Amino acid sequence: MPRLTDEQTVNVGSFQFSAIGIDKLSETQYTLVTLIVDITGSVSGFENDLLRMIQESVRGCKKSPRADNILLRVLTFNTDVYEVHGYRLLNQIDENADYPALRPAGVTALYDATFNGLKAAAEYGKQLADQDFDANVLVIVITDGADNASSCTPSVIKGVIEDIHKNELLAGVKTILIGVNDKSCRTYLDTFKTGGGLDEYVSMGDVTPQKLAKLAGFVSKSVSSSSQSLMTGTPAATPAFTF
Amino acid sequence: MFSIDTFLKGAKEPCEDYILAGSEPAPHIILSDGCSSERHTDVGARLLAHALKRYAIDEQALMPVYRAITATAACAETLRLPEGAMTATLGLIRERGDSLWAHLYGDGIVFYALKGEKTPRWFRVEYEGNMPCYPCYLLDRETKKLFEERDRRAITGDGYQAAASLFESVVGETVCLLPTMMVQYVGIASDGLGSFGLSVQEVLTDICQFKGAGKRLQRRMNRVLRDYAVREITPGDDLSVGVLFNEEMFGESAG
Repeated sequence: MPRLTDEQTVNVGSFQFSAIGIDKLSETQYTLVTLIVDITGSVSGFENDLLRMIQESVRGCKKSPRADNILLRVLTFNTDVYEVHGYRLLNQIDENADYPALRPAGVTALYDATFNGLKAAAEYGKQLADQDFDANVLVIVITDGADNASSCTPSVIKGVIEDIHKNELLAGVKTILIGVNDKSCRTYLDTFKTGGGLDEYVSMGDVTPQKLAKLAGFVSKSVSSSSQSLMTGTPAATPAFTF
Repeated sequence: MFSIDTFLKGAKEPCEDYILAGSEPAPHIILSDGCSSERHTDVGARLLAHALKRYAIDEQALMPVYRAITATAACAETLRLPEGAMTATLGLIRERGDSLWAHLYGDGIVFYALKGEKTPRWFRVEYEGNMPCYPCYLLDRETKKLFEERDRRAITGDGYQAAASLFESVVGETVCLLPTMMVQYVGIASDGLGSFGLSVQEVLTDICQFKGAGKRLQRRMNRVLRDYAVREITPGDDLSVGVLFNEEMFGESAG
């Protein structure tokens, strides 16, 4: 399995992110995918299933006919936001070795994590566009609770999304908020979706290993759909899914 | 030392342009543009390009174009393709010794930039009545004689004389030599580059704003075509473009 040796680190004001050097990219189009996973204390009890979901999502993405056109970044968050790895080609990810055990703890900086995902995608997307690459963005946020620790607000997130659309450098941006165990916070997450300008809110309901396995399929199908839309120039469709 | 990038886009089905490229034994690009008024020239263009690769590049044979068209004619007969299927131009750029050679058999466009230059220099070979001297005419004595008697070729361009030596060899072939150590890139294109309704100068200036590394020609072409489409400008013909980039010099300033 090839190991990543060609990463660059990019400063975006309040945080940094890492990404494969643009001169190492051999395709002309890329979908920048960011998977953001909640590891607050409340996911304790199903953290192993969450980890398997991440691994299966990556495996599913690797099967896409457009696998070479996908760059994936994975974040986890609780009180802080952690970059598990920056934007990498799928063939540079070892899903068995690159994802350490999740250790749930802390409270929920949901807005900061979403902001981090979108802002990094916007910045890296701009770098790609400046070198004539075609790029679009897909951000998937998986959370089980309301924000209670962020310094960012939904309106700031909405501003980032609006700037991406206004600049017209990227072929599109799609954001999917997925609520797990979200019975008690469904209304809140719906409000966040609206206030943050996110595209979709998908409620998974109560967590079960089977549903998280299905979630992995939803994630990889969403990624594939976004990548196809970049090729065809049509808007990305969210896969129909029932949990 | 050289990287290679090519671009191909059909304006119709089937695409009658074809392009292939390689690095061994030396960097080279071959393109072929089939005549749209003859049948199955999409097949003929592909056969011709591969035949030229064999004789000009792999075997470095004498009279490679003649060998290529003869081989293609034999293939076409075996496949029972109509005679007109071989009616296609050929273009070739390659490194040989300390020079870059560009050959056009028929019409087409060659462009290049010297070290530090942003705007490409270029020339275009056209034929009166848009009837180029196709390589397959070498097999037809009467038609070959006709072309020998009348020079219906016209060369236009901008600044190409700065470093390029141009001459015509056998009937219908235009040859251009460039010194390798002065050139940051050299490209070749089918006449589809002139089918946008814009001047060749304008199109080449837009295309040659290459950025970054890797497939910089493909990315640039995609970007230019998309920007043109917004302005409702589309190519009226198939388009094939290939560029050899001198990586030791590309992007350096003139000083």
